[in-house]
Amino acid sequence: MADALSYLDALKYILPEVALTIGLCAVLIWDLLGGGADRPREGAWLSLGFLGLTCLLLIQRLGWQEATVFGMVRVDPLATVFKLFIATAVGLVIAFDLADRRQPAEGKGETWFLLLTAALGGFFLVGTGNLILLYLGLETLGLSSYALAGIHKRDRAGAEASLKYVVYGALASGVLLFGASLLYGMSGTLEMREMARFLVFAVDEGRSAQVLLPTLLILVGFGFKLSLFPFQWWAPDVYQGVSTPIAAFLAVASKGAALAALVRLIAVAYSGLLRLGPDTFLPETDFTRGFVLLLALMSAATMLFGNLAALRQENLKRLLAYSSIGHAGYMLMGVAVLGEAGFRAALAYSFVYYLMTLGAFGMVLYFANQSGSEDIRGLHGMGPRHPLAATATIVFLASLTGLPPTAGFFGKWYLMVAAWEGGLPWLALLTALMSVVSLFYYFRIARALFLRPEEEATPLPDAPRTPVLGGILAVLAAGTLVFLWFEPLLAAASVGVEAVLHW
Amino acid sequence: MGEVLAFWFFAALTIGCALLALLHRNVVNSAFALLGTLLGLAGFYVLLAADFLAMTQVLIYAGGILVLILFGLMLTPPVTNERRFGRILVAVAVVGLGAVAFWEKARGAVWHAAAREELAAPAGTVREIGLEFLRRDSWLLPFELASVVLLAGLVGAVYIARRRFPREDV
Repeated sequence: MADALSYLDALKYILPEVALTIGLCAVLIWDLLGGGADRPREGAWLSLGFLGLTCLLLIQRLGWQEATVFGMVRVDPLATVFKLFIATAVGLVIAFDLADRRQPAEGKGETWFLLLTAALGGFFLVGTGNLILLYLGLETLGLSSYALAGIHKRDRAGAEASLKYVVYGALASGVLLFGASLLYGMSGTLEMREMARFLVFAVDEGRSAQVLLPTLLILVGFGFKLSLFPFQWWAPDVYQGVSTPIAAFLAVASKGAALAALVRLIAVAYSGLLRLGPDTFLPETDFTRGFVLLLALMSAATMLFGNLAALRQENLKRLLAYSSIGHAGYMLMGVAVLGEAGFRAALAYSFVYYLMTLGAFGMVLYFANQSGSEDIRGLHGMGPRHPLAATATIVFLASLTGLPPTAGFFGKWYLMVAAWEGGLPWLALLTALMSVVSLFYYFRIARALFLRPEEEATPLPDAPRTPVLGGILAVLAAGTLVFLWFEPLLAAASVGVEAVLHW
Repeated sequence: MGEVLAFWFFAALTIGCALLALLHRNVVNSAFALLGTLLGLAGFYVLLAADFLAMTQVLIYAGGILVLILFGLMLTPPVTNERRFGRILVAVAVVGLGAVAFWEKARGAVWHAAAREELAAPAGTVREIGLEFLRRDSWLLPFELASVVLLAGLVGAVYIARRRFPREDV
């Protein structure tokens, strides 16, 4: 336990966070000294350097003994894997931002700084079993994201998106805080692990409604971050309004962190009420049945809304926003099972989602650089002229649809098996149906790339070449395609879930 | 007895002013009504023997945030004050339904936090709070993280509010 550790030993456990904090201070000072305005690229390299250092420290900590340091920071496989998830996603977002040729040079230093603070918030969000630290992590992530959404303040759509995001976000986080304070009031503790006992006790005594109310309120907060129905209204407008790299950040890093935190919260604080958990105390309570039904209905509604609304979109980023809502629905399906297999499948799917969604946003960026447009018609005839990026795009689209042999197929397969065996066969069938629906709108992108004749005004005369972006796309596509990669990912998810469930 | 009277006084102040803030036609009056709500809450904190919290409530909310709201109102063009009865009705209906659904159950709530801890802190809480903030396995880390939250908020706010790109000034 932490008491046995000296201060320096405890500090070693949070060295990645310390490195990241030093990094964000360095980037801020660099910007203040004038580096940001004149040489924005060097600030990006500085950020990438510190992110790389953080990743190395995290990799080093992968095999460490689980520990709780500073009273509330939990260092376990789930936390470390998702910290890597966040750090690498933010690194890729910075690389995307460097490759984006259509943005003004203004505000670069602030962008790097805010991306790093967001990553730090995500680190604490996924790595704590304490509600206060969880909330602070969520707020660090949230506040940075609001500012990032508004970083192009001259752009009307961007300003509107930022405002929308901040208003919805503040409301959702307030509601979450209210729910957390009710849980604290009932259990007298902020530690999820100790809370579990009180929740079981309350449900056992027939006070399920009392547990249900704070649970619902907390779900509002997470539902906002994960863009679950009915808290998803902000997502399309915000994704469309912000620059593509920031949209990728919101869709991947922010969502992944929120998912990991939600899984930890449910697996730990509600551990006695899980349906298929290791220490489920009763076969099934009313509360558990209600909770499963609630999550399952939310998941179904999210899938339906995301996939059906995506059908009619012309703007690529808006389409991807709806598609990412749909994918949040799939991930929630795993959580709804309220058991080990479901959690594992949800986390594994989030890794797959990382590869293909970052890839899809990178694709939008790549072709927007070429054609100057983020609409589907901007892609017309691009396929033959950019074979590498177009092939990568096809891989991402196949994976997003869930076609074999891409990672998306296996991720969805595991989710559906978990749902089927967890007593939610209708949800598994709905997922299959929605995958067929999603084929229609993903196929429209592929058709625009290869089967549509080029329009006259499409190519920009001075279209920049972005070989690095092409390379990133190729690597992500290879990752998505080579499903052998999927085994270690599944193992990582499995170890992470086990660490949480048997804490 | 005195405490009970004080409780009802602060409750009436808080809820009454909150209703006034919601329903008043004039936004500036609504903002001033908010002052009563915030002070009422501070009163509750005093009743709960949370002296530090009460102080910060007055300093930050009643003093800082409210002035900010008033500045915001002064600097933005006045809104035409049409009253939206439809919306208010919907809100009342939703809250009412929720209250009916949860009232019976919530009344039986057992509040462990209140039951377990001694509420009366005779010597004041400021000293303890200060020590807890700097003790390693207590609130040190959240305290430090809060500074990052504030820094991020500050940078974001200054950047968005800044009028011109510095190079244009030269």
